[in-house]
Amino acid sequence: MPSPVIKVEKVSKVFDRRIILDNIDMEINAGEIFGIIGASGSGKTTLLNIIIGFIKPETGDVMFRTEHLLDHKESHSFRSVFKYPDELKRIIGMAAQTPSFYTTLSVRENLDYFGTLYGLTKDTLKANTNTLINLMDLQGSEGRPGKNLSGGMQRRLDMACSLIHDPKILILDEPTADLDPLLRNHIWRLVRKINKRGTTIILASHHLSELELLCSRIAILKEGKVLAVGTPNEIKERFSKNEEIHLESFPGNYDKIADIKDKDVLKEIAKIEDKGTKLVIYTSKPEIVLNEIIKKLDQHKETIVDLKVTKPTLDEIFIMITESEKDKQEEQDEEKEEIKKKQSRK
Amino acid sequence: MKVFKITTKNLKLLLRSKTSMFVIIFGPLLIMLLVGVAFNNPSASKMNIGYYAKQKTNLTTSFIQALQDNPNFAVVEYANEPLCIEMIEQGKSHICIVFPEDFRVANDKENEVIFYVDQSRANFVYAVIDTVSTKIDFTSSQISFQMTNELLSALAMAQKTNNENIGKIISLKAYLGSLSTNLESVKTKLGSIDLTQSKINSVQFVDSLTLIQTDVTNLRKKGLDVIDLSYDFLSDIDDDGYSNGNLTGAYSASLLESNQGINSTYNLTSKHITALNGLLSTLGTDMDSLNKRLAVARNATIDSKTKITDAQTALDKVKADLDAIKTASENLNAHINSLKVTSAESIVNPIKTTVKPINARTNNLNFVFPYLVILIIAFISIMLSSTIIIIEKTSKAYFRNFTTPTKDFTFIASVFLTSFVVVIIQLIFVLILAYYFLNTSILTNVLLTLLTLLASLVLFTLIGMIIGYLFNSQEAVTMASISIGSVFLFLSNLILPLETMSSTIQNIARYNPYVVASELLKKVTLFSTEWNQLTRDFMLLGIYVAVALVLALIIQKMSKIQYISRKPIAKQIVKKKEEIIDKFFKLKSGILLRNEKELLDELNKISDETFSEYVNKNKNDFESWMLLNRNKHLAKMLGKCKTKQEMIKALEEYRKEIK
Repeated sequence: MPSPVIKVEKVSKVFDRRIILDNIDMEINAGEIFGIIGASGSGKTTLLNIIIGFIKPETGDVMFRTEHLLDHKESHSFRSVFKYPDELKRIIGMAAQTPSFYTTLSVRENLDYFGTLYGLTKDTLKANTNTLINLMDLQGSEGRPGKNLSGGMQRRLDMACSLIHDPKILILDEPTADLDPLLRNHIWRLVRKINKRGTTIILASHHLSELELLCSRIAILKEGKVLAVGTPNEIKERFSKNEEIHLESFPGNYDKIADIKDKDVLKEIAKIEDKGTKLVIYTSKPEIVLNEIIKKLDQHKETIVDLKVTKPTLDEIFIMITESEKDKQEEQDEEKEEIKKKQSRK
Repeated sequence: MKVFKITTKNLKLLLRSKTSMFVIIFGPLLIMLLVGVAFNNPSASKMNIGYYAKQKTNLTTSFIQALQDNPNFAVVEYANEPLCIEMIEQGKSHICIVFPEDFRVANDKENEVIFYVDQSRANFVYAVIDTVSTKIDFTSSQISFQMTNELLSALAMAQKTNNENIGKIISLKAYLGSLSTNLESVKTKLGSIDLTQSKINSVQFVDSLTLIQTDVTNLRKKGLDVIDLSYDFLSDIDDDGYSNGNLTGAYSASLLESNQGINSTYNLTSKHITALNGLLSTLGTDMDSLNKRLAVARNATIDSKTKITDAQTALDKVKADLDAIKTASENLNAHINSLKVTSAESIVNPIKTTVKPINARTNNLNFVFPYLVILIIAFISIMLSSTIIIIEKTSKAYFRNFTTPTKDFTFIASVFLTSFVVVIIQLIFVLILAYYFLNTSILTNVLLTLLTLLASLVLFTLIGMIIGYLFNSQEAVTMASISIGSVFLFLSNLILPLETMSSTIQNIARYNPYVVASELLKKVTLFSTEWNQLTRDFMLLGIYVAVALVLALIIQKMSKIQYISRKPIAKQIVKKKEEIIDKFFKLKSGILLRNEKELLDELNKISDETFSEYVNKNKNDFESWMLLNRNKHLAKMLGKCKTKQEMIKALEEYRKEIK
């Protein structure tokens, strides 16, 4: 049975009379990697800032479980992050979108400084610093000023600073932004390592495909609203019944292959996409469609280079969901336009 | 512990930032060095003085000579006034003096010497005017001295003559007094002459003589009768025989002799009486004549007495006039004597302005040193504390500090401590430099000096912190710090004397923290003023510190909110007048309405068509919204509205009601 450590309850936030977050409800369970995905401006960072108590919402509250606080007699009770900010700060660490450390201080000085601000004893601080330097692969760079570190190292130093007080919850806001794929992988590996130590991780990113592999659960955020919450598979199941047939052939006359006339096959196809180098067919009955495709290949003397049947990625689900939302909105707008036209005719 | 850690970190950040280290740490020392060299010059720099004199009189020449005698003046003559002025515009002259055409000292003659200066060089112009006019004033004083001397000599001579006249008046007065006395005596004597004679009547004398003659006749007759009786007696005696004839004969002889004697006396007396009568007659004539003359004399006496009385009256008047003249002369003398200042130098220069150093200091730096020290403290403290904060605010790590369980006050205290430490170190350097190399003796009153420096340091550090928290970029902070510092500087005595400013500005400037602190330091160091005379200044500084601390705390809080929630400080300061209601109304455009004021604003913007999406035959969303917010009154008002204009009117009425 999952036990929540953070409860976001009916949180709404308004900036300049614009709704940034609209009645958000979600729970983050202990030990999980919880991903918050959404496009830029969807309210991810605002939500994270509300979770750590920086920003107060217009409505709703964020509660955190206090069982981790040794001096609290009542375990498993929840407290508002806005009423007990210092208690929260002791169990939570955050790495913001841009690395947050002193660039003219060395790696060790940064860790030492932030550790002191968390009130760590000298011994604990030393031990945590050494552990984090090893964990974040920062050995040999302890004495280097932050500004002289590479992008990846800076990101790792930032995470190390967030972890210096050994928090139970780590919030990472776009931890791989501006990093190349190699460094991104490195960071994700680290996130897993941190999670394995028992740290609950809340992660916001727009690298959906990477989150899909990393996160236990995901919340999809769009224009301040949570469109879906669940494991990646649950979301995929919920939002897409189709599978994807990825076909790569030579010479690659995909328009001819896609020209399917059989009505029984056609009704099973949700969408066909000619992506230039390959053809992607979305269908709930891939075996029927595959038969027809193979016939077409033979008919047009196409040689198969690659053929695979997959479930849709989170990226695709995200696009699907957001586009369907967009479509709904557009439909509503069109309806309004129609009503207006009718009224004006009258 | 946290405070020291943050302070150490701040110092490291400062020291590792080359620019800030140079600007903040070495900058002030450099300023001090430059200012020290600039102010450490005991003499004023050479001034270029241009002049134009259409006609050179002796007086003009003497003035020019006086200026030329000053080694610090380079005096140049120009052919005309415009050229002389142009030279100032070109920066070749500091001042242009135009002497009047007929420049000489004469009655009712105004001699106006015109100074042309470049007012734009406000810092220099007063010094130039002061220096040159001092020289002109000196020459002018010399002329005045000479003229006043002459005036005083004439006055002294008048006094001397007056004194002599007073002596004469006194002797004249005495003479007149004696004359008056004599006249009085004459008058008395004349008065005492009794010319009212009983009239001497010669007839009476005649009558008397007649009576005397009668009496003598009677006396002769009686005598003759006595003799006859005696004869009879003697005859009777003889007859009676009592006597022999001899005896009676003897008596008869004697009687005869007496008879003869009486007759002869009688005859002689008659003769004398007749003679006397004649004399008396003459006397009568003489007496008449005398009487006439006496009558004339009496009249003359009366007339003389009248004239003497008139003369006396005239003398009294003269005497009174002389008294008045004497009193006036005495008063004049008394006034002349009462003149306190009788030396021409004292009249021309009643107040001597000898500039003497109050101590043994020899250079200008000593006098401006308190101002400079406070200036350095002000600039370093403001720049440093604001820079520390902006370094922190613009640093990548600013955000992370907020994720730690550290109180805001800890950060504020750390910034203060960092700035404090750096400024203290710099101040020690400055004071050591000043003490050993510039021979200033600022530490005459160590405790009060330190207290003043400390209070100033705290105050300006807090002001810098306010600036740091208020702005969000290094440029803005630097500009604000320099601006604030400049305002402090310009509204002080260091550049322009406060007395040259308007009274309003003067009043404001007196409360300028820089002025308060520098004046306090001046009093402590230069004049060694006691504590009890400085309590007001220290109290004022204390109030400033308290206000600045409160402001720093408030603005830091606002700055943090601004950083986190992107809510500008200005918006945080503006008091929320509109009540935010519980349930918002979201328009389809995405705009959120929080109260009826925002609804009114929005209704003024939206079209009737858009309005009809919310209010039509089937619904009135705004009425429903107000019902949800339990404002039944407004809901009822809005429920009656069918058009946008009606709703705007209803909302305006409602807002009037609630006001």
